[in-house]
Amino acid sequence: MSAARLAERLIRLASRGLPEADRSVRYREWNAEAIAILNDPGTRARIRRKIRALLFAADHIRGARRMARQAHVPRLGWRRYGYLAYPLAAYGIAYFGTHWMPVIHLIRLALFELVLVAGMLCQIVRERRYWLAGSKEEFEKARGTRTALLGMWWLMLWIQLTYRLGLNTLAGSVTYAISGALLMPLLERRIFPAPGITPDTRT
Amino acid sequence: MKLTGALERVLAVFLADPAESRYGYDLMRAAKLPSGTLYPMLARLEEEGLVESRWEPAGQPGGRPPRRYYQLTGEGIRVARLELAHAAQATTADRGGPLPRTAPGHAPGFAS
Repeated sequence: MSAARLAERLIRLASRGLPEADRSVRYREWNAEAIAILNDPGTRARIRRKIRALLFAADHIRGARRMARQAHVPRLGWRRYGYLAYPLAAYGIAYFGTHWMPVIHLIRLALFELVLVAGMLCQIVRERRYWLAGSKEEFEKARGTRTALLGMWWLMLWIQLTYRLGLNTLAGSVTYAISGALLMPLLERRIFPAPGITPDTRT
Repeated sequence: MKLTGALERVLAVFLADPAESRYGYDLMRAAKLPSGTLYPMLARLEEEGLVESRWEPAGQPGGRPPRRYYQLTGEGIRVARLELAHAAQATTADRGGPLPRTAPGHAPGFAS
């Protein structure tokens, strides 16, 4: 990946956290500066220009957080932990799935509950109009995420069927699938979309 | 407005030539500040009406995208001068304050 592209990605990432009204303007401003730094005739060494542009872009992640705080933009904060629920649940099943010791069984159940609660909470804090799938383009864009989630679910189901873990775990898997479906819009990053995509363009 | 060291440097850069518009990277270099510190500060100053910005016209040489230029407003110049004068006054007062008393031959930093 070229330095210009990486800088652009970093700036895009940083501007995602900004207030919606500010997002595209800042993205345009910072990107223009990064391009100017990369082509700065005052700095002869190309590597130096690249490093400067990347540092410039990377530090905007910190700056954008500060700007968002100044503008009182709600941050993802604890909602980010919703993401953690997935690997935790997968780990819990894959690792403890074959054991039936009461404590381990309880941990596994707690993980399922965590997934369910996290998924639901993530939905509650979102605006209702973003709960269901967005435009066709957005649906296409989220194909990777969707495939990964489905893959994880199938893996879990496969473990359960292979080791014949019974109805209890099967019910857990269904719970996981439901919470996954609920959490899907959050994973598609429609709370803080990339610059240029505003809620008004969503269908 | 709380005058921090970083803000003091930015205001000093602006005041060096108040009529001149400056773009972000130029300010960063002149004030020796990282982008993550400078831009939130510029946003705050703009919100307070002390700084105004304008976009460079499109069609720059080499197809470079237009940059955003910042300049102090009339109010900004007045406030910046006042704040920097206060800061300078405070520094002078600090330097002119009473020196800590030390026993002869026991000056700080020197072994007796």
